[in-house]
Amino acid sequence: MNSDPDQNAGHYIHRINYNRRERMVGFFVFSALLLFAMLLVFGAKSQHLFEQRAVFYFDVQSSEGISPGVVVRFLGTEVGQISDLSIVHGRKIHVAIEVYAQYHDLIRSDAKVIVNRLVGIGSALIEIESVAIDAPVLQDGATLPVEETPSLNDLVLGIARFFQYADTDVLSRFEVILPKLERTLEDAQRIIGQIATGHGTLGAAVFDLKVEQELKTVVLSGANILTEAQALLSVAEQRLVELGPVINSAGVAVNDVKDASQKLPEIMAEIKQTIALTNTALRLINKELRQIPGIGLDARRALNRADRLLQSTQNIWPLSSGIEKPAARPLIPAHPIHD
Amino acid sequence: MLCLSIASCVSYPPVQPGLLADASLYMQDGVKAFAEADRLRAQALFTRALSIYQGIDDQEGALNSQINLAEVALSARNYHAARLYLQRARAVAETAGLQHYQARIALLSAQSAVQQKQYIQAEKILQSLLPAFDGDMPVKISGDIQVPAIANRTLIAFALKHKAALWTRRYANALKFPGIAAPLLAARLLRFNAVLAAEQGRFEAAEVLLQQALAKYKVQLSRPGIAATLVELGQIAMQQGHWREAQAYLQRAILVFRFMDDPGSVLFITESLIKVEKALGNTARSEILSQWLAQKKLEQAKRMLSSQNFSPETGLAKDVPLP
Repeated sequence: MNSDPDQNAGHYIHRINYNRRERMVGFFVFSALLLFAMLLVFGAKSQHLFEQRAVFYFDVQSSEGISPGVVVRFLGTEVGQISDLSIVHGRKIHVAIEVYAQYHDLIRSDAKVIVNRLVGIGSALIEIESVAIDAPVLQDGATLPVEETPSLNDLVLGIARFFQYADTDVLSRFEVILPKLERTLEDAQRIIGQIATGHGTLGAAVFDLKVEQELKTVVLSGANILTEAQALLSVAEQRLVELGPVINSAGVAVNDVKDASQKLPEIMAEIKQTIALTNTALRLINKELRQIPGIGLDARRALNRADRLLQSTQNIWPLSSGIEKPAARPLIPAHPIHD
Repeated sequence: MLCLSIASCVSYPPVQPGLLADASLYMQDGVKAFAEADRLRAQALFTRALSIYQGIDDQEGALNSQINLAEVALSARNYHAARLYLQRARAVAETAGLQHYQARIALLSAQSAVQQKQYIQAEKILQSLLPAFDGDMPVKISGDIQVPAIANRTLIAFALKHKAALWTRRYANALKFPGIAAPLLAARLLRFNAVLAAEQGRFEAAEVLLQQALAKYKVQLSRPGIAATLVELGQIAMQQGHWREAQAYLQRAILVFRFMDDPGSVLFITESLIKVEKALGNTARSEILSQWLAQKKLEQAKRMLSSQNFSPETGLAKDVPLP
């Protein structure tokens, strides 16, 4: 307490002097509060907590890869998220998406939703595509048309079904022609054997009437069979050429198999659809596959950083006092023989 | 404020180069794997550590790795590999001026000789490692090599049946020195005393001592110690004619040796088990065991013959992994 009479005039608060230490403490506390407030503001902003949203809807056949919280993108930028799913009449899934207010202007009347299930297993990439910049802005609550891709599982099933149909047709024809070829070869072998065992001279064997007749018959029937086999081989070759594009994502099926003509239109339609989908799938998958080496490097870098972070954390008191410092080059302790 | 105050308690971690840290971790994990009797994993980890140390010319690290690999080889009874690792370790210790490791290398060489029943050679090697004695009292114990050396010398005394009691007392007195107390060393002493008691016909006392040793080994989870003690308990039971007990102990020992992947010990115990089965009247079982034993011995002999062939490119036996 200050006993100086001159200093005693007025409220005591006006006579208090803040020393340096108190100022430092106050600055420290104020800075901490300010940092905390900034953290809250930036966090709320990045999470879009208080942002207005516009709701749009679209209907899909399957909710595979779609769930509340899944991000919705426009030209690669996050513009919203899935907010709700519900099953409606007509075996469809009614999906609600919330677009943040700042991006509402991008959604025009020609906008459509693309649901891409080929980017990964169990998750879909949902993008809004809108090209016309002079079209009117779509109102809140509108329903958007949708294009959805099948999942990888559906693609594989489609390709497997195609091979199942194709195999049986080609192979069954081969099963018919091969025994005939075998018989022809056996006949030719028998004749050669007769000549080799010396039934008459070679010239007599060739000019022998019976042999000549046999030869002619064999050659004729063999020629017929070989012609037939050649036709079939060309068919099979053509089929193989056409199968190739299916595997390599190109081409359409053959049109000269009369037995399979009943199934052909069906197979053709399925092949066309499968090829189109396969093309899309391969294009999308290739893009993702190219990222894998980079992802591996990034993952390794992240692991190294995590390791350094853990090491640093272990040096924080009181953690550091509980952790034993390991030996640099540990040896198995010397011990007697146990035998 | 809490976060800021905690952050102020951080000190910069001592920066250890990544490679050295990796090698150190491999060695630590290898020591743990060896303690758990996981030999394959221990060998893989020590080999990795060795290649890292050799890659950065860390002589001491390479030497320690070679010593650890020799330990693993000896536990697997791969004496040829152990000899090669010890030769390399000796060469590194000499060239790098790390002479203080020679005692450890000599201890392992002696251990290898004892396990191969080359007792005279082992005795010669151990002579340089043992402390001076005043009767049955060691004058001084220094380092961590002398006590295991005394233990191994005691084992030789039992094998040669010469001054076993004297060496057991010497070992017991060595354990009384300050800073020497270790449960595994104490368990070994109990087993030595048990063998002495059995030789004097005091089987019950021997059994009690072995049970105490088994309890100590189980606390430390030392599988080699557990297995060896079970074998000794089985042998004590056989000497007393308690065949059921002997059968149980030997079967338990076989299970532990199988876990440690020690087929040599399994074959050795099976021979005793065959005698026990015959004594119990289990003729069929003893015949099956005999046939199995004969087949396994033949396979082992073939393996040993093939492993004698050295690879001309490396000059090493084929079963020795290259570092």
